[in-house]
Amino acid sequence: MNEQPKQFKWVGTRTIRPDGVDKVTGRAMYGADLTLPGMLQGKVVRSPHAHARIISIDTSAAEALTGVKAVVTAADMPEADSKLVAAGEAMINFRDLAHNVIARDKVLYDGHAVAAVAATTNDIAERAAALIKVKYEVLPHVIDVLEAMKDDAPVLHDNMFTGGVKPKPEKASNVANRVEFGMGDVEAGFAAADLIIERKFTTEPVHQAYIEPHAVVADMGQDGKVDVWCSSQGHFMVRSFCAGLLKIDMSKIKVSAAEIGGGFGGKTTVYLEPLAIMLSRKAGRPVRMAMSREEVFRGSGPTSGAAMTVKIGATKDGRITAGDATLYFQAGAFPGSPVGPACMTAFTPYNLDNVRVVGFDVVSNRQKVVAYRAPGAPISEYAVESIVDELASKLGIDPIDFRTKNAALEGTKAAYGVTFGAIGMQETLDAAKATEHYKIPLGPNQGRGVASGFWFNIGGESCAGIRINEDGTVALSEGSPDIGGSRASMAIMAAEVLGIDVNKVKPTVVDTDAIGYHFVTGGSRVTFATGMAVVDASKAVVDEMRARVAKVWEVDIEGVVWEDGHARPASTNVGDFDPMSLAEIAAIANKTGGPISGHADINAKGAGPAFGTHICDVEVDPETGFVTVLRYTAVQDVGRAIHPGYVEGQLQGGAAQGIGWALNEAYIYDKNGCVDNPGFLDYRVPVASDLPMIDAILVEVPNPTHPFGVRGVGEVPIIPPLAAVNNAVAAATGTRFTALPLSPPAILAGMAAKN
Amino acid sequence: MAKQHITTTINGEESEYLCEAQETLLDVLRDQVGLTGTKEGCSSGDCGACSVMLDGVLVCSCLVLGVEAEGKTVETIEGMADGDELHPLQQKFLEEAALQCGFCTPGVLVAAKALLDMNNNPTETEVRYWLAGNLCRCTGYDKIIRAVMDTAADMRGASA
Amino acid sequence: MVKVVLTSGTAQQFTDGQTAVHVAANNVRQMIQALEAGFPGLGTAIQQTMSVAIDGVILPDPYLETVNEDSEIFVLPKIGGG
Repeated sequence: MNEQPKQFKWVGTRTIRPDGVDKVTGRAMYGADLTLPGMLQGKVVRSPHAHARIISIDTSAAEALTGVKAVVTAADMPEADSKLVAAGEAMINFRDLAHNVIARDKVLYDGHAVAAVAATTNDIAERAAALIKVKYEVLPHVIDVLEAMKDDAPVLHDNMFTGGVKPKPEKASNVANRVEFGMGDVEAGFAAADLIIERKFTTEPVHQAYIEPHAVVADMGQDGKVDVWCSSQGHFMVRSFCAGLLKIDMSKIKVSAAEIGGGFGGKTTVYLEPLAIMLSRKAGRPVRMAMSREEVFRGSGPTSGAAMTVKIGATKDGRITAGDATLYFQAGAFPGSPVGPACMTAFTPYNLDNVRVVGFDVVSNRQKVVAYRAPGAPISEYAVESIVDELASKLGIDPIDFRTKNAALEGTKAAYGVTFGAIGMQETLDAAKATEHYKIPLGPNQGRGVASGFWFNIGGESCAGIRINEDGTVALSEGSPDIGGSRASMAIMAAEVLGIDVNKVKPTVVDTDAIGYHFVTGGSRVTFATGMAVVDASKAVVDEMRARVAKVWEVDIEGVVWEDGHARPASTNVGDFDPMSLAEIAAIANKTGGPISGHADINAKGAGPAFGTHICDVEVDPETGFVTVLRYTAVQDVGRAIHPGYVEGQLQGGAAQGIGWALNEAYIYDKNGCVDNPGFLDYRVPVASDLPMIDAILVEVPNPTHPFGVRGVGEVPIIPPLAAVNNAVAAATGTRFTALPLSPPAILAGMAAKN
Repeated sequence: MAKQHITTTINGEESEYLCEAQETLLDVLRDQVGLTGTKEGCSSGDCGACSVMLDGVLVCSCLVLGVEAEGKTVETIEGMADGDELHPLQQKFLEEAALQCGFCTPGVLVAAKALLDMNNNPTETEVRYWLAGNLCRCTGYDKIIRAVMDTAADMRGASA
Repeated sequence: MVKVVLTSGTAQQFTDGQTAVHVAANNVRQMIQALEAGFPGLGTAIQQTMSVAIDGVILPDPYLETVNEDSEIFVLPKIGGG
């Protein structure tokens, strides 16, 4: 059961984040900020080819250079077992993970790591890297997803046979897997439609583009114990992956979570960490490695680009009768695109009887994709929401009203199977329709677009420890790297349960030796799952304090209640005792049984599904095709906002990323399959002058499984912007576009084709 | 290659360091002087995470050589607060949740202070264009822009 | 008997296209064993790469949860997130 909002003292307030002062004064330590005595600098040697066989690697000249202390190649890493592990969004084969960290036999994309070197200075390490001679036999490459599916396409993995089809193919191909979801009778649904729209869409791969490049310091001692310090969304994931890849006992690897300068899913796997450990082992000294921005673009994963066909039918009065979609997703060089979640989310904002979605996971000579905020969903929902908008427009129905006629509600059976409990899709539509924004008149060349979005959210493993210090302050330990203010939320939830001032609670993200396993900071799970552990641990502490007071009062524990930070007699029948504050109980803890602490180690279930609806106004310059975003509103059901400031920030930041995806961002490859724009000048993320204020409207339909009603928040906001922008551009230009990004040349070409 | 001996003033204190001719001011600050609050996001002058003041001019320290700081003054994020007293921009960023991961924050604050030192009544458009060289991937800029404008309003109120 | 609903892709791979299968089980562990016995490979695939949703709640590591003939049971791909 959810507790009532009126009871809350801290939940829903805008406290100062506990790590805030460190972050505005430059004191916070990120991945590349740690220096250890005797530390070396590591550099990676990367493939200049999109697809090539490694004939030989000659490291002798590099090793001979003064100041070089270690060189490693794939030969220094044991061959990995072929087994599946969870990596952010999808399952990845451990052997693929190993081969992505450092190429063995073949390089599969421009930027693929082939060797690494450690030296006393950065400069020497760079010169040594240039001295490593790799002889390649260049192979034909393939970049485009549809090209990669052709019979005569160069095959990346000659042992890969399409999964999910029967009979198993006899010929290896680039199609890793086929998935299919559906219910009802799609053909009958289309037969009942008055209007059917079918279009093909494409999207380009986009990078998470966190401002902090990947960075790590690894230090292996003579006893084989390793300390790792790194910027990651999951230091337990780093420990697990490094232990598995290097065949080291987990107990010998301690990973500490540096402050993390953004991740958005991109730091849910390892790149540099195993290499730094290998170099440190060989050199006998600590090694720091940090990617350059170019390496981030060439050597770490963006999300998929895709080609899609989507068909939706509706009746004249605006009821969707059937939806059908086929999605081809680029996985990059190894299988594991987010096509599964893309299929499952595509039509899920709606209550539909007849749905079919087929997805293909396709490898090509691109960077291996990794999770990016609601992996897969922005892509498939962009296509569906664009057609939903076109249906509404052609049927003469307001786009919010059209969605209301079809919205998923409590009890709706989602297109991927499950029946929804309490959800807030309709509430976001109502709130969007009620905004001032939706009523503002538009001028010439301006257009307004609406789109909705759905993401599952996840739970998973989290732990928390609460210790009452002798002076009545509280130490809160947990293990979810704090990427956007989660320590503030943890402190708020603990203070709420304990009934003390939030500033008495000091939350710390502790290392992998200090607490139990946590799944990565991802899937919008931390405030939900780690928050649930914090609440459970706080409740355990409350019970322990009640037990201590019961001993003092010589009553049963039931005779002691916890209210507003004090133990009080449950009723006058218990006796006449003065309330004892948490600080008073702490002061006599040694006399009542010793230090007081509480712990929770959980695998959280029941993450609440979340929905959002966005409104976007644009103006399109008819002479240049340039799109200016005039106004933007993001509405989302957040369950309950623990710290509304950071919840709004998730909506605003996600919207900005989605706008960048819609308008600017794309990987561009040259004719050799090499990345042509691996820098922020040519890969343009939105800058401050590109955007208007982004109004964030929080709708609160509490998640019944969380003690405070929390739903995950971080992922939904990146889903609606792609279609919201696309629909706004359609309204402004009278032209429907089906390819992202909506760059000025693309818009001019589209408008010219219409005229 | 012999290192060069440089004398400069960093955050009000006279400082000396040895650096190679090709080393950037960013690398010198982080690796030699130990001021890691200045961040490296791109090393090409595109992201602004390494913003510092050099003789009162806002620069990307990745585009300045360490030797160029000879005889000049350098101000970094570490020098922005006055002892325990945060600069009003720092305080406002905390109050208004104008940071998420915090990695771009030092550069944004240094750049925003440079603006307000020059113009204590900027329009939203002026703030947006001034900070267009400071990439933030987390916030969508909304709360950053508001925090800068609210700080400017407070500073005008205090000096009125 | 409990009713287990598969995605059409999973069904084509393991159950000759049958998207609803019935097995005798009181909990998920028994259900997975029974599915493996009836449709070789399916139980293993569920354990390695899939989630089970019971009555609308997606369980990434299903094992001990009780199920009965009224349970709504779906087998889904594992979901993570960014």
